[in-house]
Amino acid sequence: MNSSTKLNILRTLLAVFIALLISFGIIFLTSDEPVKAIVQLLTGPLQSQRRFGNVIEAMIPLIFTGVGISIMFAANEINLAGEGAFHLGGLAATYFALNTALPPVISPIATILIAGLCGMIVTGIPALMKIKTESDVLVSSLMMNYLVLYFSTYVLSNILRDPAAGAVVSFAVPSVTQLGTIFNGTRIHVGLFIALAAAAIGYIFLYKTKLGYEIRVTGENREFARYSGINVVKITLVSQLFGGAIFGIGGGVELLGMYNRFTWTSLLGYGWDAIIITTLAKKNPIYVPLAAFFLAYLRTGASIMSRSTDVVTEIVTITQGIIILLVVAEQFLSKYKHKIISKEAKAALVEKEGE
Amino acid sequence: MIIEAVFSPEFLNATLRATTPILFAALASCIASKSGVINMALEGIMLFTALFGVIFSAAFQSAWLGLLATMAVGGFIGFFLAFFVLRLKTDEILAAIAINLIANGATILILLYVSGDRGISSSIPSLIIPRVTLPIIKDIPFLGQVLSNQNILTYVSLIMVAVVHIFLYRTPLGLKIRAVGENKDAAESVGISSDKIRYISLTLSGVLASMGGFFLSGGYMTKFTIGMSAGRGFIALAAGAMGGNTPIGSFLVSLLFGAAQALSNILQLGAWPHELVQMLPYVTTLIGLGIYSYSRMKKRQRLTGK
Amino acid sequence: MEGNGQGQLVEVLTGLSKKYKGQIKVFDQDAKKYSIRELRDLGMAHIPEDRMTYGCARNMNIMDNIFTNQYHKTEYSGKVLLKNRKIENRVNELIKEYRVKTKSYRQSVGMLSGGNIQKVVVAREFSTSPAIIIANQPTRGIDVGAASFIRQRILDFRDSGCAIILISADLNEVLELSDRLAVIYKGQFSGVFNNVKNVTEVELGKYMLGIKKDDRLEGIIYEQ
Repeated sequence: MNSSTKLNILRTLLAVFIALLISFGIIFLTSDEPVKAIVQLLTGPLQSQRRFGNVIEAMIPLIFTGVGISIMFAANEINLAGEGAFHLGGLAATYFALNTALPPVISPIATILIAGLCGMIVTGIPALMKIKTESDVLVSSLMMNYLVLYFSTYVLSNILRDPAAGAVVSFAVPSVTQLGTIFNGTRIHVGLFIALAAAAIGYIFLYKTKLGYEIRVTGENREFARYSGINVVKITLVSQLFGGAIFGIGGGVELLGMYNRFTWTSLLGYGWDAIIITTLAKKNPIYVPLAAFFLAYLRTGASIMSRSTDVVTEIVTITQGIIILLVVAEQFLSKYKHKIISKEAKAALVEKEGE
Repeated sequence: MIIEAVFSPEFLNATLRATTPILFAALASCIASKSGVINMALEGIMLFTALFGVIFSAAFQSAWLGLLATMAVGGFIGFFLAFFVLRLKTDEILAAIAINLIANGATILILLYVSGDRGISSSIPSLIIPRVTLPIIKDIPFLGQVLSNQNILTYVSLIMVAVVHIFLYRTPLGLKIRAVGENKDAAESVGISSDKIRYISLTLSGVLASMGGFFLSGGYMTKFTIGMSAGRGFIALAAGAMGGNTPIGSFLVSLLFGAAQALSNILQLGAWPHELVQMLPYVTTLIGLGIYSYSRMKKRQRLTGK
Repeated sequence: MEGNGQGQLVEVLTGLSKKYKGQIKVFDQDAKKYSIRELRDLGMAHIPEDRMTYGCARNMNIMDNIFTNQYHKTEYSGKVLLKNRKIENRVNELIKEYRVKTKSYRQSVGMLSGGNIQKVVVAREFSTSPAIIIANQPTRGIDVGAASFIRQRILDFRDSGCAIILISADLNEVLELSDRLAVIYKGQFSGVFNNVKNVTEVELGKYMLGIKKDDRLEGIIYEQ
């Protein structure tokens, strides 16, 4: 690991540290029992098996969205429709599970794949619009999220709704389709393995396959990719579709693993969480589980903190925002980055001269 | 029956109302984009300023003072964004996403801390900018009903279309902003500091957006509700882009989206399934964006002889 | 001299642009129907004028930069996966062969000097044994050592039967390396010289400034 990478890790850790400090500061300002709040935030998840289990459960959808967005951003296309893709994935999984009767094992697998397909459509639409009409992906992808939300609320209220249940929720998904729990005493479900597999597959895809290579080159320098013979239009589309599929699968897995009914009446925010995860993971799927764990831990800690003190969970959203700002700011600690890089370059030259 | 409703003066009146926040934000987007920076933090700025509008108007017991203070907050956020993008070289989209995230969390936190309310600012005695009826205009048949009896801020927003237009196209500062956006290197070679100009444009952008935010909780509605910006900041981005980033163009497009919003408000009361109706503003934006971009693409292709 | 249409000529020849009238033939086939990938697979190499915009991805490492024109060949990748070991070996060979000053193939290209970046570009383009090389200002802005290395390689390729179109603003280079010479002025060929040995700089200058012009050349397009 060269010193440039080491510095990057240091910068990231420092950014996280500063963000946490600022958040602690806010807690001190607004809470009557700040110390207790911070202790709960940082150590709450370790206090019981169930609580730690909460961390792992929360990590699962974050891994999917982190991997999905890493692939989409690798092509340098800012497609933010992952949020909608995840949501539609959950809806599609519910609908499919309720309306088909497949045997065990096949049922969840097929359902998850359908969810992935729907996710692909959500991110694919803005990508296709960019190709056919040259419209900006940023705005069209944001619109997709709202469209999916209202569409799925409609479907929930009018088609899937279980009148016998108290709240606005769908019928229960057949247990044959649900993903079982792995560890007793927690709600951690089989989706964990699928998520970790997705991270591994995402990594292999981006760094070991032809397509992944093409995507990365296109993302780094589109003109260069085109000049080299890469079909940048096709490759960009592939990256958006693939990423959207992973988002959709994430939604399906979350639904089948953590819920037994479709209950989402608002956007869950996993699309925005994905941004912070990919920022921390440097767009590399293999680091996504680590970043996802960190965020999940923070979230769970915040939830525990909010239940036993007067600080609300939203403090963590603020922390996330600060982390993004600091990590992405190139000039953050850039003076040191330059010093180290020029030291390395000089050393390299000296070595070569000596040959 | 719907057609009659659409062409009724009440509907057009409602359209103007709904257009106001989008228009403010769209103008904000124009100024920023003209200087070459995308301000995607409009959503967050509107949310922040909707909350602060309520807090300040209650604290000062004056809607106008509250508005001024809120505009300062909006300007500050714009400046903050500029700082991260220009000085710390943060990617403008990611910085904006960070600001939006912080806005989501902070508004809930601050609301709770300041008033103990969760979700809606019921216990804050905030004041709103009132609606007025214009004396002579209100008697004009049809148009009178549309134009009169609007919130003062609505009139302000319409005036701002002209103001921003004049600012961008008739003042030296506006020229510099456009120059930097058009060709940063060329502008710098004649001595314009592109960073300074962008700081200014982003700050102004924040101020304009904050007027829209203030209106949301201090005119359109009377209280602050969490998440009340509801994507308007993003719609405003589209409006700006589709309007060619010109004040007049964005105004026309904002009207379109305002109409969609007003339509969805009306239809929700009727027999149409209200979830689908709520999709209206977003679908309109999406399709409108597609049509606009497509025609621009075709024009470009024709001009370059493809 | 720049600005007379060389850029567009290169774009059209290398497939970067299909907007032209008339015909370009490659190996007796109409070039218009070929994509950039296909042209390259037929044996075309292109050293671009702007190496940072078109010639490399500065944040990627040397290995990733060298392989953008050949990763899809069967010896370097299967249907899905890249054969990373083989690619690494080849890249190390190329680094040695083209004398790129670097610690390892993992170094990011943006960190190299201009001359070394150009050597990476040239290594990439020449390593596919091209039949046609289009070199656009290949030695501009780089150190003397790298420049003469590249010029020698161009001559070597010429000697082995490769067709080379060299575009350069460096008169010395052009006179030293060329078998035939053409001057473009304001978008048209103003002079063609088949006997380069007898051409003087002064003579060339006249054609370059438009003072002299060979009217027979109206509308002639070179065939490859």
